[in-house]
Amino acid sequence: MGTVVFDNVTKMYGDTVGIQGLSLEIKEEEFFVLVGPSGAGKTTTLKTVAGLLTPSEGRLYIDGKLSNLLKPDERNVSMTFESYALYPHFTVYENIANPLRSPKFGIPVDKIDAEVRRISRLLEIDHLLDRRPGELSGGQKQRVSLGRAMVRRPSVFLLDEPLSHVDAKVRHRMRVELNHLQRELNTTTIYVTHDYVEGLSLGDRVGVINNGQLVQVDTPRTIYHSPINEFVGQHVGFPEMDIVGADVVNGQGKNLQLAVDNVPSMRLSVSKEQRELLRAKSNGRIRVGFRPQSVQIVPEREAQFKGTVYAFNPFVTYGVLILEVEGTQFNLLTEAYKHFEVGETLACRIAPEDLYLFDEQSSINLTYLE
Amino acid sequence: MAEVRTPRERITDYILNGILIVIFTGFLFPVLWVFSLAFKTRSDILTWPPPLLFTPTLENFTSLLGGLVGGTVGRATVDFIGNFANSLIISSGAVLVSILVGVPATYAIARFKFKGKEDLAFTILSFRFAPELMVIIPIYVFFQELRLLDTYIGLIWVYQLITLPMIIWILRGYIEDVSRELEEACRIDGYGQVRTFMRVVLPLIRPGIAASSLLAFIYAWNNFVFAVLLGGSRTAPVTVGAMQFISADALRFGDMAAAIVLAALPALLLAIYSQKHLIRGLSLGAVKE
Repeated sequence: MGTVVFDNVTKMYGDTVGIQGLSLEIKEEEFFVLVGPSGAGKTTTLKTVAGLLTPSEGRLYIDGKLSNLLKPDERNVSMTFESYALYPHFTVYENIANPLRSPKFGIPVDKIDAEVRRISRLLEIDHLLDRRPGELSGGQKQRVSLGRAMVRRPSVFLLDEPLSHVDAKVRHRMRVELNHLQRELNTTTIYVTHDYVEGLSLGDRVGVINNGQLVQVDTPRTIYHSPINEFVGQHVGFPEMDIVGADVVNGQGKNLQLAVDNVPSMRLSVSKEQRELLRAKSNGRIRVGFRPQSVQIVPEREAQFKGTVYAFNPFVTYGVLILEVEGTQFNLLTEAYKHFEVGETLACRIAPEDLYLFDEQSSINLTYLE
Repeated sequence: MAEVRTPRERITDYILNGILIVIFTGFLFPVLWVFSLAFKTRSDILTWPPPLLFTPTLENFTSLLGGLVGGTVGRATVDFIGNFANSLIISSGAVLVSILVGVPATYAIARFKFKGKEDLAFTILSFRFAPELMVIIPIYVFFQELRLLDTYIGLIWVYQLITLPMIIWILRGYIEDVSRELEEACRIDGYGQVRTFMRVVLPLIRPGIAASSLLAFIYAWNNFVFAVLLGGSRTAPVTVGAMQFISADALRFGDMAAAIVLAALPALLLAIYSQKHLIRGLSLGAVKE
């Protein structure tokens, strides 16, 4: 139990696209994460599974059963909302008990009581049971809304940005706990977030969605190290991946080099596999991407290019440096304890394996390009 | 800590407060006047200048409730208690029907998208600002044909013109304030549409229902035109009943004032009682703002 299959599902709001031609199979007990920018169609996807929205086209199967037209109360799914959506006139206890009290299940009162207490102990909110949502902090509301979803045994958990409104410290702890809870409960989970770190650290598999379309579905590792196109590459990672246009030119011997546009002094070398890819799939032009942490500061003799420091922002655990090379700016991730002066000259290099090569026209990663 | 105010600000305060006191007295004067009349003897009432100090009497009330008014001149029998009961039946009946019909109707207007929704909502509102006299003749003819003249059902029905728009337009805002996600959450929790409404929406709009039915009740209670033209001796409410004190031979000010004081009581008590329901705080903290 606990599979969700989208077969070419489209949801339109009048003329606007919510999700388009979504085909996706979520396996039993899987922790599936949907990441994407706001307005990408993440919540629409969740609400379609919940039955709050009806697909305009395509088929949706939950547990192998065609569920397009089933009402929310006729599907065995539970959901948390970004706004928590706690019933303000109920106490925490009543909020958590609400799903069990549904006349659909007819659960005896003492059993409901036992379940509510079990879940609230698990989430460490058992001392709050008599309070109303108005008297709770963000993190506590968050737990109550998780409690309301977890108190029964649904086929699928739908979690909509559950950690977006809790502060960073609580978020980290909740993330760990969520992971733990999911393993403990073994329930299929669809988790929606705009935060890629959260997505990549929680998910068994991650789906990246943009403009209502699923761009890439894969393991967190593959999504990060082998993004299918420029969008995925830039969306996943902070600071954003820098992507520039480049000419593929002949270097020493049989080697190829990438001559970056507008930066004559910047020539990047490629690996053997990349050379084969470039020979096969590019015709002299390419878009090359590299992550800020891949730009290494090196002694001058090893440098591929030199630039001056435009700005440096030390954060607590890392620093973000903006490097200007002949008028073009790049991001660099550095250790926080290092100090850089504005105007200082730095020698840099980027290892070939840290380069991402994208097709100029379609912006698709050359590895995936047919 | 006391706020530090400049002399100039203090003078402005005095002037503004003075103006408020004058306005307040102006509004309250008729109320106080009628209230004092109710406790005066007939001779005190007719004395000029009116005495500021007088021996209060309950004779107006006793004669009114005893059903025999008029004292020495022009005795007449009135059925004030009957009028009062009629007012209660008609006004609360009208409000009750309006709530039963209005709450689901308002929910539909607030939540669903359908063709002509705003036109419908506006039409309902327009009942409120159309003068009653404009529609009274056709309604009178209908009522005559349907034998609804001088019946409670007829009056409760026509009072919907007063109470229903009130309830619908006040409640609309309250329902729109209830987050849709609360209803969605309840649907997912396994409740059907009607149960979700009863469980989530209804408790949250209760202050709105209290406020709107209170206002609707007061307007219904005060109505005169519908009651005088479509009612009759059997169904006359207090507003119509009070007219009996104006007869060919005498204006019975004392009885009239006593009747007015008693007639104002229900609305007053209701307002005091409903105050605690008029707080909107209940829906706060429902969702993350």
